[in-house]
Amino acid sequence: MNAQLELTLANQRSAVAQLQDQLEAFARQHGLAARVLHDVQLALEEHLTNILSYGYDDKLEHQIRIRLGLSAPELRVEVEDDGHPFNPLERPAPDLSQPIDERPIGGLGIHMMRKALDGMEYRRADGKNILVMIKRI
Amino acid sequence: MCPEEFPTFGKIMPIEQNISGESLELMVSARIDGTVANELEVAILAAIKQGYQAIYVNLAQATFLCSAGIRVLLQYHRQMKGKGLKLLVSRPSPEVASALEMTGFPELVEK
Repeated sequence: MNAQLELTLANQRSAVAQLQDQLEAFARQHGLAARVLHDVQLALEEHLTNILSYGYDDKLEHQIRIRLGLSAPELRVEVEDDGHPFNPLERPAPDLSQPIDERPIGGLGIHMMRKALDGMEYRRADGKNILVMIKRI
Repeated sequence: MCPEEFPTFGKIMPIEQNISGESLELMVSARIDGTVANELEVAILAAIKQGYQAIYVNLAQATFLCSAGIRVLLQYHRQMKGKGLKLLVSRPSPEVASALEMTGFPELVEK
């Protein structure tokens, strides 16, 4: 089963919600397991939220490009944005053994991405961040 | 103002409230993305202001919980605990339970 889909969204919350709906339709169309869809949606939600929150200093609209590539046994989701250089793979993992009252609140999003996905690849090219999320289907 | 600027314009609010004495249950039946996490925070703040002793966030119908949602739950769990009060997640869906387990916060769930 091979399929590709390319989508573009603006850096707005409403566009992210719409993307999630489109991803759901893609999953249904290709018979992807609910768990696979959930995990990819979670990773995308976290990464796109980081881009929206920290990627830009201006108030302008920016385009984010998503490329889905389905080729058993993997689903690859590539996210390309033109925000500040940001490599999620370089962030340290949170210390889960700390007592709940002492756990810092930051770093959860990237941790969830690592747990939800089977792999991630990052590169910076032509002034863009390109993050590839890999999920076994 | 165009509808896109208010993502919840025209949509049913996904948070239901059930009062039981001094306890309040907030039932969230939506995917808890960044936007819904904000709505949850607003509902929790209103509940705290109204003086409830215990707030239960029922997530049986929430099929998705992102880190923004976890941060809201954690922040107000700590705040309530600091006052000798309670804010806990009740009846987490499998996806919610998994998200809380994966981030190391199973204590947020009512036993």
